[in-house]
Amino acid sequence: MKSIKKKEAAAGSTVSLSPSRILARQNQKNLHPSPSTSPSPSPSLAPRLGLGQGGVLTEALHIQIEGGMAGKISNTPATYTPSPTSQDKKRSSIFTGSDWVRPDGRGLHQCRPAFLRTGAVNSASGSAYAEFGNAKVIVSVFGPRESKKAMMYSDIGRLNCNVSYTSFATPIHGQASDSKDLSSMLHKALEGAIILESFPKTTVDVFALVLESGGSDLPVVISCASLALADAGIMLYDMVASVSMSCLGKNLVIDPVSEEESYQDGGLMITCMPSRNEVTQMTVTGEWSTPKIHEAMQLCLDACSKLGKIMRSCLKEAVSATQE
Amino acid sequence: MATANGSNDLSSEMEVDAFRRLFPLRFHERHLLESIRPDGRPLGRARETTISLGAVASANGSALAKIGCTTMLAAVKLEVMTPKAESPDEGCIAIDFHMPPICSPLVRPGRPAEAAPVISKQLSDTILSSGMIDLKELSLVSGKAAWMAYLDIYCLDADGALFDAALLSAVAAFSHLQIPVVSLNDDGRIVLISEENSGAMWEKEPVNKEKRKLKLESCTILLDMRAPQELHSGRPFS
Repeated sequence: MKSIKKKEAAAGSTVSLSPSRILARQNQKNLHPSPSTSPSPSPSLAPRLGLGQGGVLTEALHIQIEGGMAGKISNTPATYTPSPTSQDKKRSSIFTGSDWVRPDGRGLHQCRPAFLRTGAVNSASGSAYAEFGNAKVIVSVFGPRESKKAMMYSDIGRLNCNVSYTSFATPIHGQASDSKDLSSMLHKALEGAIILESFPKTTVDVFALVLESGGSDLPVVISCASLALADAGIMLYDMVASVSMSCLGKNLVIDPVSEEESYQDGGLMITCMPSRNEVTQMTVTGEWSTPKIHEAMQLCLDACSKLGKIMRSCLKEAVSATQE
Repeated sequence: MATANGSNDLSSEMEVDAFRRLFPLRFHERHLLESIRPDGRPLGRARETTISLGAVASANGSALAKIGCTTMLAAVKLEVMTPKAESPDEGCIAIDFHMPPICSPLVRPGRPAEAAPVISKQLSDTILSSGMIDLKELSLVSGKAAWMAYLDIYCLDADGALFDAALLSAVAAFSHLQIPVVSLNDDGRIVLISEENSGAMWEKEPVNKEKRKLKLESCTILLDMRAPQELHSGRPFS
């Protein structure tokens, strides 16, 4: 959806609302059980529909909206974000082979400063808040608690993960990245590090909420989740640290921001247990050459070990603060 | 607080925590008899309340409100819409209250909290009917463009007094709201005027140079519900 908006703003054409755009927008919102109306193809901004009272009559849960809502159009009028009229010249600089200048002034191999805090949520067994630049994430851990009745007996524990975005996390309202994907990736990253045998028959729930998406969200979520697990007292083999890299033309940039991620040719994310020197998850997307992958992996692993040290010192501070 | 009371033998033998879980009603009644609550507050005192503005940088207005441990994050995002035919001079506000699974052990991804739609409706009724915000201020170009304000409130930690905290954060977010300066493009689209261009020439006059902040009608937020708030403010017991 973002690319459609950019193209139209750049081309300066009149905005005509295509049905797919309305559906894509409505998929993110609470819907009323209202009669569906077909969108008019006229060049006016939106079909003139009345707004139902506040849009809250049915709590179609925000997180659950992915499936089965296609074809239903709500009463709320379609809206757009007034985007600035600047063209993006930065993309061309990558093609000319010049060095990429990072928008926040960091070096190419410099990670963002990390702010980590445990005990953010009082109602949870353990929780953590992480802020890496603009990426802000809260993770709560509940458990070990009773598995659902439908689950079969299992002599090792279960892990249940869920990642969701707030509607104001991204610059465009209501547009969240694929959160189902992220949930399963978080699960894969953590399950190698948790000692599941220590809590048979029960389930540990890890819930993450991305308050603001500032690029490289999943690594931040994973690191924050492992802090929260440690805060909850769940037994782990080691802390889990995660860092991602982007390949922009001939440059390798570590810990990319949203802008850099949108321009990247390829992305690499490594999740590892630094003290044990074991990788729990590695994700490679896009275009890579073999020497670049080796270099990127090495840089990521170094960054992960540094991040692991920062996480441990955060935990130590939390413990010493409670002891005083 | 485990004062021995001859009337109930069980209570004197048990630990405080166990008694609290097994006989929650009696636990609270015993406290109320002394006119005090389990966390030591007298009946008439509210928990420590803090509000901080500007918690979310990517939103046009935001606020974080905490009442004791209950934390609410509210953010307002503005988007452009075409106003309705019968009120071409008015914008619109869409209010949404979410309880994500992080806030409480009772909320799960497949099982939404029962309180969430109730509070959502209460909030939108309160804010829209109180006349706190004049929808005419959200208008840009009469009949053609107006602001749609998406107010989203997320409960980050649920510990009672949810409606109060949500209302506080919503009002604070609106008070922090900064409407961006926009102008009307040639094609009838509203575009942001970025700060760098402000020195250079503007093709079109910015449409809303003066009206950058909303004027909120002074409204008294009644932190009512004292009596039910008592039962509500403690740890939720099933």
